[in-house]
Amino acid sequence: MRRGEYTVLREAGMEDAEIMTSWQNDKEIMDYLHFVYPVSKGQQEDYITNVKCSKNDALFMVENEENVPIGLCKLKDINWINGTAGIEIVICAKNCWGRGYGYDALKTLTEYALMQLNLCTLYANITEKNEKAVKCFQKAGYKIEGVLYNRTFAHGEMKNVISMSISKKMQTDGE
Amino acid sequence: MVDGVKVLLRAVENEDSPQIRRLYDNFEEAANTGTDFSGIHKKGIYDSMNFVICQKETKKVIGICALKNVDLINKSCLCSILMDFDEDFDNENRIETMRLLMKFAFEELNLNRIGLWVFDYDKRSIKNFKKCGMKVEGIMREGVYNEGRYHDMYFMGILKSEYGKIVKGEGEECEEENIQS
Repeated sequence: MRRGEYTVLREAGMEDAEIMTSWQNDKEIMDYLHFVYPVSKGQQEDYITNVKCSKNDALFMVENEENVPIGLCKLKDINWINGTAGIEIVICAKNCWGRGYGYDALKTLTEYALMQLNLCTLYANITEKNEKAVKCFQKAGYKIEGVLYNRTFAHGEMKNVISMSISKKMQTDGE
Repeated sequence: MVDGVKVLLRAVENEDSPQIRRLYDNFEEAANTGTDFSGIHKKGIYDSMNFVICQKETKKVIGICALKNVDLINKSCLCSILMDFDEDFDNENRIETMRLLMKFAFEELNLNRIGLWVFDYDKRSIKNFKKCGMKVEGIMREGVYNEGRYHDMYFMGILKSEYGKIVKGEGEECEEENIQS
């Protein structure tokens, strides 16, 4: 368990499959994300197993102060040698939107990945219209690297994706 | 049951798992034991990366070597070298092999340190490793049993920063003489 100011991160397990399925089948929640829906509970369980078995992925549940699951976050495609990973975060409980939970969880996971897992660079690809997410990542110290054109298809059209990243300062050898 | 005054030790039961899990959930405490709440720490560890050592001209196999317990979170590993008995006299090959392992570990795998265990009666290896810039970091007293008695084991290691100095030509062979001969 990793504690932020208002949120707690814990490893996702089989018992979370049900709530994850209900979130993922909610169009409003998935609006800006690159997931394909709908999914069944069985598919969700397979997904959790796959992540658990993968050396290069880690999935966390975000919980609020009362230990109620309110969202998910993930480190994906971890390259342990280069020290890079993609970071994804979604707050799914609608009563928690716009209240700083996403920022808190992002900050907590970022610090965990850089300072505990010793990763060097984290990156996120955010749909261009998702301005709230861009602001949230900026607040957490991420910088915009550039725009990737026509990278994702949703609502009948190709959309641009904003690439953001944060890096740990590298130590220089022997100095 | 192992009885103490205030605590006792008993075998682990299946029913204990929620409490055990809670121990790992306590992040600070778990960090002290080098474990982690998420199980990711296991994901960053690779068992070993093995190589065969060949003579460059003849391509003849003269030994094997490996980086073991490659831990890409803590950026550390152990290493070992085993050379053919026929070539045993050839310290230069051993030293070069060690230097190549270092180059690979520090420049390709981006590790921070390499360590190895060496037995106290293996004076030649200790000398070779010192020539490569490794330092004795600690002693495991009576860590190995051989030919009827216990021998000390030395743990030797080198950091990336020290390797960097050696590459730049600023490094010096380790001169410390804290090993009794």
